Amino acid sequence: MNRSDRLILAAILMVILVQLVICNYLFFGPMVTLTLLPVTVLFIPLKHSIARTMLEAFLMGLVVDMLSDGVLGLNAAALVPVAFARDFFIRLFVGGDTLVRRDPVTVNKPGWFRMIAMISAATLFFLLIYVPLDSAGERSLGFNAARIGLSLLPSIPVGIVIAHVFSNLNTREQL
Amino acid sequence: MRKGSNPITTIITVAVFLCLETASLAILRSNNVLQRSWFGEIGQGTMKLLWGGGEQVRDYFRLRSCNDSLASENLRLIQENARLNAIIDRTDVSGVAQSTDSRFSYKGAYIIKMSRNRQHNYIILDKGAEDGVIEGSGIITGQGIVGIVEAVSDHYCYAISLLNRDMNVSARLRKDGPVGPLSWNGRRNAELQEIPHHLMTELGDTVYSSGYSTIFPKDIPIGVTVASRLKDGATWNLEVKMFEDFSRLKYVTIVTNLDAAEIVKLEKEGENEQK
Repeated sequence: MNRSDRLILAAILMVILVQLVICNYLFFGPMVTLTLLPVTVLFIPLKHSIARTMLEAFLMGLVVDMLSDGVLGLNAAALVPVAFARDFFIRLFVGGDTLVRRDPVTVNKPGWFRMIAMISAATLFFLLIYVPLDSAGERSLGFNAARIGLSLLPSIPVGIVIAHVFSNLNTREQL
Repeated sequence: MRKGSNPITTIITVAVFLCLETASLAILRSNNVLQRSWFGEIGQGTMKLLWGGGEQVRDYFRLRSCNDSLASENLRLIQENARLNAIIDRTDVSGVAQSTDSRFSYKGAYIIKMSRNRQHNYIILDKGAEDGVIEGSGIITGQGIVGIVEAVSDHYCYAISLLNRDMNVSARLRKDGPVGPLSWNGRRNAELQEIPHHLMTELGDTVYSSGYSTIFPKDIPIGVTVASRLKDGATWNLEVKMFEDFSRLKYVTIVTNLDAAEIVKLEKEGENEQK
């Protein structure tokens, strides 16, 4: 494991820690779920295969579920599909050549507009699985839709911050 | 999945995804009451849908045998009806039935081929000489007369349809009215001819088979009168809207007069004596 890998791993652990703090100490009401995990999954190095990325996402989700007061297995169940679709998001918003060369994902190439679109899409995909699984058929479709919308609003700005941090680390690695 | 990745990698990736997602959902299910009951409901709903869907598909493929069974049931009821009519007809004033035999035998058949858009239409049925069908047998349904068998092979028979300008059947206006020949008018309806001018007719009257032939039993409903036309100032020609929709025909009943040969023989003898 080289220095940049260690930095990325440290950043991921830091994000997990922040997510745990959010889950355990910050309560925004039943309608808002602030999540940093989908964006983090997008920045797992591309040299990791999708299978490995999914395993890492599964463990990440499980750790958050176990150490927070949440529903056990919920984050893992929603995060594994995001990891499965990671290459799709990157091909769509960053470009297929990044995927082929397995370059680190940075903001420099696609620009902030595409990066925000990718963060939004990944977070929305995560919430589309997370919210119905969490409500377990007890909430109406309207409530779930409102919850997804209201959770997306704060998650995107926080996701941009996370993307900025990972992008800086990746840019440093490229230099 | 990465572009250009080989199929084995793809299969492994999908398998890992399925394993991890199943594991996540299993953890979710086993640790949370709410999710467990929801998954149970989803499972039950899915099974209901699959079983229900399967049952519908099976029902669809069972339609053929269901139709067969309905056709044979219909045939049995026609036979029973004919037998009871025969009892009523042959009952003397004291109310004692003299005979319970019907002159006609009935046999269900599928239409193999049928023409409808010619002036001389025909029908081919899946019953032939081996099934007891003879030339001159009639073809009917619950809605009316369909045709007359003209030629018979071992397993099939060829019949001229009522939608044939050459075909005439003897029909009666109402159950107790006058009798006349009925034939297709070449368009949508049939025409009942030679109804005496002095007899009152009403539009909407039902037309039945008269029974004055060796082919069809009497009182088979054929249609209702929808128009009338005075011909040569002497007789009425009544336009009859047929009950039978020939475009939807699939099953028919072949009706054979068991005494036909005897009646024809007697008829010929009578004609010879007159000569």
